[in-house]
Amino acid sequence: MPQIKNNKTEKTYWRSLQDKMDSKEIESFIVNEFPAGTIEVSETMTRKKFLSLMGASMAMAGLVGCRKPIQKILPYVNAPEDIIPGISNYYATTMSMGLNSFGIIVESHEGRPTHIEGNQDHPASKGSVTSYVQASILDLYDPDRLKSPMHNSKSVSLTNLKNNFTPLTGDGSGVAVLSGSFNSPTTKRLYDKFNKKFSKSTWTTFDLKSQENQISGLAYSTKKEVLPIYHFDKSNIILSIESDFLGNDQNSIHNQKTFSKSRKIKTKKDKMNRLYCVESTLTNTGMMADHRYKIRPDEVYNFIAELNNTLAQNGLYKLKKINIKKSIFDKKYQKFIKVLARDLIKNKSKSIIAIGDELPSELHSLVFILNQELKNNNNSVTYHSTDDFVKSDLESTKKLIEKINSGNVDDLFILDVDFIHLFSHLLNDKITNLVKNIYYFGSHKDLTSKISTWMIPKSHYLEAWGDAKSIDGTTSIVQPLISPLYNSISINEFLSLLLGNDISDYDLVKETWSSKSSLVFKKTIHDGYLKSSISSNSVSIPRVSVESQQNIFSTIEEHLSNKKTNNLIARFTISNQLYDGRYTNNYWLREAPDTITKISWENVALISIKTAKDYSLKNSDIIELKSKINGKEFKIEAPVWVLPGLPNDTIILEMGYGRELERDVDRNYIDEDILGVNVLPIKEIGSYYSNNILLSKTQKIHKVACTQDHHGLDLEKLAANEIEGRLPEIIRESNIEDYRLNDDFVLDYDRKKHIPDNDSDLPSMYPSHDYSKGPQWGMNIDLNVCTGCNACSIACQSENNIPVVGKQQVMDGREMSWIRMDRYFKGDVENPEFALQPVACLHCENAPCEQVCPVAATTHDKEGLNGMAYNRCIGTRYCANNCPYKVRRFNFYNYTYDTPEVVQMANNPDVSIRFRGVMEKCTFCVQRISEAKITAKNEKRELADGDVKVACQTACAMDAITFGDIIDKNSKVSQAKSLNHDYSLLKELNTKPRTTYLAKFRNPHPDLVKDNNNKEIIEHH
Amino acid sequence: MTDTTANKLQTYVDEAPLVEGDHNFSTITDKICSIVESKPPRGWLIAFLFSFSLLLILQGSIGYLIWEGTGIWGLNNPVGWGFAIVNFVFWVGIGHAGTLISAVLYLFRQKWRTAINRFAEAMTIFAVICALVFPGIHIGRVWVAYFMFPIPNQMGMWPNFRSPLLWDIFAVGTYFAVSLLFWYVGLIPDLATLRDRAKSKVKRLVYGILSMGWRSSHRHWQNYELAYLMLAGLSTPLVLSVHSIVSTDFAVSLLPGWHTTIFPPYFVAGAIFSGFAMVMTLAIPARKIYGLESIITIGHLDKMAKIMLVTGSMVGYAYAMEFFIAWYSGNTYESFAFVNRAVGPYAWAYWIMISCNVIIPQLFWSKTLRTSVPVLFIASIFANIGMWFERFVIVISSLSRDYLPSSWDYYTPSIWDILMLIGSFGLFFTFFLLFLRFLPMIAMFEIKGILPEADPHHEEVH
Amino acid sequence: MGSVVFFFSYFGSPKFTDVGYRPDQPVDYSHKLHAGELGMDCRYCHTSVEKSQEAIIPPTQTCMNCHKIVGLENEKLDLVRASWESGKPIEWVRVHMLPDYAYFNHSVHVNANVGCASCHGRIDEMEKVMQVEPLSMSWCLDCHRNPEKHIRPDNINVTQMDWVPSEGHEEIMNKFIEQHKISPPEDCTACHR
Repeated sequence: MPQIKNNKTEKTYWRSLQDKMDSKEIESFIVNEFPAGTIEVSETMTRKKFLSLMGASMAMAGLVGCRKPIQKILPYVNAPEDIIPGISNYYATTMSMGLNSFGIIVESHEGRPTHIEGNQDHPASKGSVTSYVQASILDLYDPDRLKSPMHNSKSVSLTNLKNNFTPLTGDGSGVAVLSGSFNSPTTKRLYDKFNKKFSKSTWTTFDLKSQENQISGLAYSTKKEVLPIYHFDKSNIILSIESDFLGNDQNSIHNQKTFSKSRKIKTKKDKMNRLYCVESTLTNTGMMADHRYKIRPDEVYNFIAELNNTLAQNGLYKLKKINIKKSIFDKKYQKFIKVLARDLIKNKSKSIIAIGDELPSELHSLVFILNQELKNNNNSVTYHSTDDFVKSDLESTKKLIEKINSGNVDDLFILDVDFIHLFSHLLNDKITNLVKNIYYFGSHKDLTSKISTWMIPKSHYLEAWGDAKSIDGTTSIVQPLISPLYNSISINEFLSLLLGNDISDYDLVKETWSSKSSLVFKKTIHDGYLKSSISSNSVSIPRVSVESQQNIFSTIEEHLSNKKTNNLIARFTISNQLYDGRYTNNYWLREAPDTITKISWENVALISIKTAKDYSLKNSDIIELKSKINGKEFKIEAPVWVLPGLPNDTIILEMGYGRELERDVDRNYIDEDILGVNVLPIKEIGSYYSNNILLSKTQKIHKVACTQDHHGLDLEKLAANEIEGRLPEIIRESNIEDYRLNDDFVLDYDRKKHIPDNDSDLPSMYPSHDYSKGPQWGMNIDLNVCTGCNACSIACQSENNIPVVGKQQVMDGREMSWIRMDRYFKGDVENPEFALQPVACLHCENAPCEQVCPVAATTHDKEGLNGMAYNRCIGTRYCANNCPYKVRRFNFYNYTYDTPEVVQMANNPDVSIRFRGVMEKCTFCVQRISEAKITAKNEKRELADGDVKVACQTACAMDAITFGDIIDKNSKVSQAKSLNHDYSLLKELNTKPRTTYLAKFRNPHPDLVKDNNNKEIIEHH
Repeated sequence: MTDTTANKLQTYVDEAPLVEGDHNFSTITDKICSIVESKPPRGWLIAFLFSFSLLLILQGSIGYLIWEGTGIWGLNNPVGWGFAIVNFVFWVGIGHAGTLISAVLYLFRQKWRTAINRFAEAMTIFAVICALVFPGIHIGRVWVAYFMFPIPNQMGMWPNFRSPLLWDIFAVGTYFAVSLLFWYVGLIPDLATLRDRAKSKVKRLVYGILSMGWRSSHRHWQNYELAYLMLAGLSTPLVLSVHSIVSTDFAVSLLPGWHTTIFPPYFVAGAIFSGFAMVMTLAIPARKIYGLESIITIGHLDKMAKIMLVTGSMVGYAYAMEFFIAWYSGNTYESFAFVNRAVGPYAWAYWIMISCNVIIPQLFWSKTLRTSVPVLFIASIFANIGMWFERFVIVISSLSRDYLPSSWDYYTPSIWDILMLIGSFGLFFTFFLLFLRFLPMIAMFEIKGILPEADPHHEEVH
Repeated sequence: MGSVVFFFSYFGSPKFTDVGYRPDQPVDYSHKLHAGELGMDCRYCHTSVEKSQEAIIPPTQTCMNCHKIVGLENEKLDLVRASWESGKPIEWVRVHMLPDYAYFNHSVHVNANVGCASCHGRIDEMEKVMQVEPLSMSWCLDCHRNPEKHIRPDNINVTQMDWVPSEGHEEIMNKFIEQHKISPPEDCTACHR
């Protein structure tokens, strides 16, 4: 029996700070919100509840003597041809976000869109979705959307608007337009028309997260306005500098798809890419990295400069050295840079240097040069023209603010940008005193709508005709799935209205596409994209002579910081939940815990452990942050959260929170007042970090809902050690090199406990079910590629009608999400490694939950599903207690009773809405299974592999999840399960789970391996 | 006179009398009946009002619970069972002493039981009622609780007979039924006495119906003795079975800290321990208020204290054994579960349990303490607290930290948990006080049976 | 005690509460006339029964196909014409009600040659439609456990109302079930999600 010893990669795991440090230390960090034995009243009788109580008792009184409620059936008068009641239709359309757009397939029941999936053939989505795309369906049914146009806060009918809305006459002097960037040809056409017609007007484009620096940087070198697309499937070595290409990135689906191609391991022989990551925040990309090195934002120049020089020394002789007076990096760091440089050079034309798009343009130029010298350009990195896009422009935005401040703007048109939220702190006076008329085209009653004279509701993209382009140039038509729910119009209709003619968005799109034949037009709508347009934007970049780029090197030289500073820096990032704030009212995204911090509903100020010590801060303390921006002083208050692996004296602040919306419906369990903090005031517009921040601790405390370390439960040393002992077994992993020596290492953990390799050899008291006949459903999750991006759990929420429970309930440990995304830290607290594990119901063959249920509400079916009959469940919660994986979720309250009708429209009619007092959990999308089975039966054929795709599986851009029939040896899932590094969780309990995991691999550079276990790789002093 | 009878007389002379003072048949009758017949003392009235208001609290919170859902409790995802189940197990435990005293001690012909068996049994009944409240209300959908019973239905569904919860229903149900029967049968002769002494028509009628026309004829006595003996035989195994089966709720699951084979005996021992503690807690004030010191003598208390000492030590042994086995098994999850109890976030509860259940009973090694009423009273109350915490520790500390650390969580009771716990005591005492008021709290005829007069040869002594 | 149990389990069961439910319909449409005497096929109106989980109540359109020509004077049809002109649907009253948590699929049953009459009874003899079967879970299971009683040979039309199984029908059908791999599920997951 192989000894566990020979597996070098066994490391100490820990779940969170609390685990890692002994209790004395912890006390300073963690608020123990509930000292043992204290009592808190979880729910109080609100007025609303009281009323509902009365109402219900009335209802009951009414019901007395009823035999049974009468149900009415209202058939169509004229049946539409393509709709058969009870059969869902699928339509292709496109969702655009920033400069990119994703092709999607939308499921629609009786004309009601309910679920979004990626469009297989669309290059930007490749059949998968991001959590944003997935959740965007909820925005369609947002009950708080603006319902009709408003004039001086009086609602106006749409026809009324169309008839007497002619704000623009003459050449448009004194007129300013502010919009986000867009990629739609039609909108672009109208935009050009607008600028032509109103030549004196200024149109400004602004994105909180923009590619501007990247574009201008590349433009400097290439003389073309381009954006890169990375092809990770063609690369062995990847360096990410402040780039979250696997997470919150424009093109993340493409990145994830290609990345997982060169990451997945099937046999010993398979190669696996190596990901180096240098970042000042903590991102999904960083969590995936084989080598992650933290860096302060103000040190990035130095890092790139030193990398440049090392590359120059080691073979890229064309590169110009940057003269660095004194390196600010310590030995280990320099060694890392050396190793990295060699590794890059060794893999010329098969490596990628990806750099965060918010970084200054000269760095982008230099990285372009580096990629060029590494022969990556036009190989693993291709460039795509952005000429068709209307891009964010910082300078003109600044000008606009000045113009407004100097009172030179009479009519301000704001197109779907929360102006006040973004800029109010830059205005000298109340905007209403500066600007005569403000016209706001948007979807919500936010701060901007409050001050605008006209408010025109914006249609959701599933309600309007339009078109879109992806970065690679793929052009597609956005077709509506449903006619507008409220009196709203699309942006194109609005623009044409400004141009003085009222044309429907369909005609506008048709006009843009007039060059194409109507057949092509139809086909494009049907396919969801125009085949001929794929990567039509790509431009091959001729080699740029390094000499011509002298200034880059000199500019960088100027920016080098010569000594380590330790002044406080605030680093601003885009939120993982709300993006730039556009999803403020999307409860799915709000509740889904942040992928890294596991905090739901709001944002916090993230700081490193040492910083917390220095300023004697602990989780949930509220701090005040001050910063001076050209003379003016601004300040914000935010709760603190301590996170390992962050650079010291750096405060990570998530943007996008703190948008104030006026809501029409308030819901019982969802506390609308939770908004998070707007951190923009202390951010200088355009910069991504701000120096010399002043931090002061307040006496206030703010309870934060964190789903993994509930209640900041403080772990004493004992428990911490226990976890360290347990986790290597829960998340099994190996260095790829060790794996080549010992490829069934996953079994060692079981063998150590004398568990037979084949779990059918484990005895059981009860007669086992007969699983000989197919299909037998099973799932496999590849931990090696899971980024923990939440797309799966949102997809699950959308498919299975999982209720949102609100912050209080999350704090009480009652979140309902069927997929729990476990996040573990590993190794040393200053520079941890990370492990992610999605855990949903594993559908054990010997399910412990089943035999303890007194009413047989949860039982096994003959296809190996662990079924849950909600209507039979009486809610003893015994099954949840007896589930070793704790994947069952209980409806402690009737969370869905006050779901507004419009939100109910997002529900999947094939899945029951669960009532208070019943248990629920992952069902392997049983509704999809039976649908597929019935279709197959009706078509008199056998089920084929791939007929059943579960929601999480399709959503996952990393293709980490496979699902299918485990009897069929050729099915994808059986193939995955047959791999050597496939293991079942807590095998010793003999539950025989149907969901098994593929072990995680790390691919550290041999020369750096020993550093990983070493503490304090960067000393900050 | 044969020498055998001589020996018998000898024994009478030596053994300390079970009834002190110069009681004879009629004084006993008067003493005990007078409690029921005369107006209740003020103490009773105050106590009754107090416990009745607690009962109202219970009803109120149950109402709110059923309206709002189990969310009003402190439960969360890993900790699916909270106070409700703790209280259930606790009350079932209390409900043990009664039947043990009446049935088991009866079969062993322990004459001293007669003084306490009646209200020990009453206590049992009421405790079991309290217990039965909780499994009823702790489920998510109370209105479909009937799914748990094997009754014909349109679904063609049986309950799941593999589930310990189902075994519970049968076990506790049976136990309740038999105990009730046992108690009632034992009451009949005394009810008849009350009937005969009753002055008002109503009383005569009520007691008349309840005493089922008992005329204490020879045949009646013969049948009675037979029936009583059979019921005693029937309920003896139940004493052991009930709590063994309740313990399987935990023992059958695979949760570390629950999944242990020692549970059945250890639960039974604990139950008897808490049962006797509760009898003591009730008996001591009762004998004081109603001046029954002569009937419920120090001797009785002394004997009960001994039993508490024994069972308390058994429980202590079980605690130790759990730890040993956890370590000996070499199962990391198991051993952590127990170490976690002792030093984890619930250590406070654990140490309360240890000190109340294991350390305090050790006082009873000393005769003086065993016979000092205040010490006994306080110790008995501590024992009750300790046993409640035993269940708390078992249920909650195990649930809050099981296999996957990511789902560990801390359980904090909500105000409703607390109110229902208090309320259940209200329910218990309301019943008990009513019992004291309207039924003979001591089995008169059995007491008479152990008076010297009862011995046919009693005259011959002097 | 026993009697209480009996009381609820009998008087509470759909056999007692639901069978015989015959609500008044806004239009007193006679299945007896259309399906019976005129011999129209069920699928003329309930079009999607072979494709979808729903059999669908026909759109007014379907009625008008004929009633543009026939029964022009018949005032029974006033509501239909009204609906046709106003475009407002006719509010039919549902007769066969399954609870929301039971997912029944018409198509799979029809394609397995289960006759309409098996569940809906002799619709062709009903003036006003009435529920004849309890539609209770145990009733479903009875058929799922031994389907041979209700599955028809290929040469018999599922919509044929007056069909009665011949001698030895069940033996033949057992073979049929073998060949066509018809396996009526008895799992909770089959109907409850």
